[in-house]
Amino acid sequence: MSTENNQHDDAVDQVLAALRNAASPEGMEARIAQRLQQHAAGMPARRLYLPAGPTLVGAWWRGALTGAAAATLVAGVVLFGAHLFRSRSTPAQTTGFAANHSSATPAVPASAPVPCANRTVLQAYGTVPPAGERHLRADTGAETVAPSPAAPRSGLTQQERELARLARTADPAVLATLNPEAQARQEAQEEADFDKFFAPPPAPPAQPDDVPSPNNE
Amino acid sequence: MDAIGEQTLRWCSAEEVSAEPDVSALVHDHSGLLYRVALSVLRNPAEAEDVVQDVFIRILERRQQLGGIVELRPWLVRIAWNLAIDRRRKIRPEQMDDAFAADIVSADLPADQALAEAGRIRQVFGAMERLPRKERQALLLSAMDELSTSEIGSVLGKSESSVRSLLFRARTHLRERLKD
Repeated sequence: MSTENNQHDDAVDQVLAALRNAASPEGMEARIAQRLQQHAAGMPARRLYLPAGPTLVGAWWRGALTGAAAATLVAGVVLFGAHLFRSRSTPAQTTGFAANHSSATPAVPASAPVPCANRTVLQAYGTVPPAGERHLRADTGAETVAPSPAAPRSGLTQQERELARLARTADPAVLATLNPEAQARQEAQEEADFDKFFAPPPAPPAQPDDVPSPNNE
Repeated sequence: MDAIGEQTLRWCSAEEVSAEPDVSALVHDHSGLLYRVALSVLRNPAEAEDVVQDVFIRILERRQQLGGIVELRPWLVRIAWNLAIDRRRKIRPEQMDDAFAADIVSADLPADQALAEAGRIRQVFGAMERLPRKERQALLLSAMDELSTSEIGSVLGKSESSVRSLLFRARTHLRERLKD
């Protein structure tokens, strides 16, 4: 029993002794120094945005930066929401305003185009609101009463695209087919050339009848 | 195995902080100890060396704080231990036991005896793995000559008497498990 225990103790001691006496690999210090140099070369000398160490000052700065970031975010959200609200409510306000105002100035025809937000033009059309309402009109009314811009030109049709391609690439003979007179002239020319080529040969000259035949006697 | 906690190491006040120590001197003085600590956890020389390199890179990154550390060696051992535990999760030290046991066995033994000896050493490794965490840590750290009992207690967050008690229980448990 005690012999068995001693064997186990010996084995444990042997393992611990092996761990105790383990020598570090050859050149380990040099490799560590080299890696530290590489790491130090790629490492910034000192962090500028946060002080080093778990200090109270460091915590204060982190809190302040976090608060400033949060405040900026909240302000951005509020401004964006206000912008959305204003852009949605503007057409309704101006439509109502325009309806009220058109009833006050019936001289302006309903179909008359209001060209732009130019104040003088608006005054000429009688659509400039009274002084008390101008602050509403200044930035919202002009856009709503301005005429719609002309519709953009639509693209070429398939036939137009083919014609344009033809004008760029085809030879004059093909282009001439687009002109009826030129086409008629060309057809006449071709017909004349055809007739000239296939015309029957001219008749041989007729022999005189008064020449006596030598076997006639 | 679990990482060692941060409960025991004492930090100096700002007035006590001195100039930054030389990291290369730390490498020269402590790399051997840290290598053995990592080797006791990983049982693989290459992985242990990587852990030592990682330890000194951490130190380089926090070299401004080094002057405030009173118990430098337990602090370094704790870093090495925790990094080795992290690395141990990615590898399986049991797979290295054959080669490590063969290295431990004396080369002068005949082949059959060397084989039996290596098998017994593998049993010891297996029994160590099944020890309670603190007992295993105390046993492995006690193998390091450079660490006194109080320094082992410092690393583990235990008193010296607790460390001695852990070592006794570890030995007893090992003996029982090797008997089975």
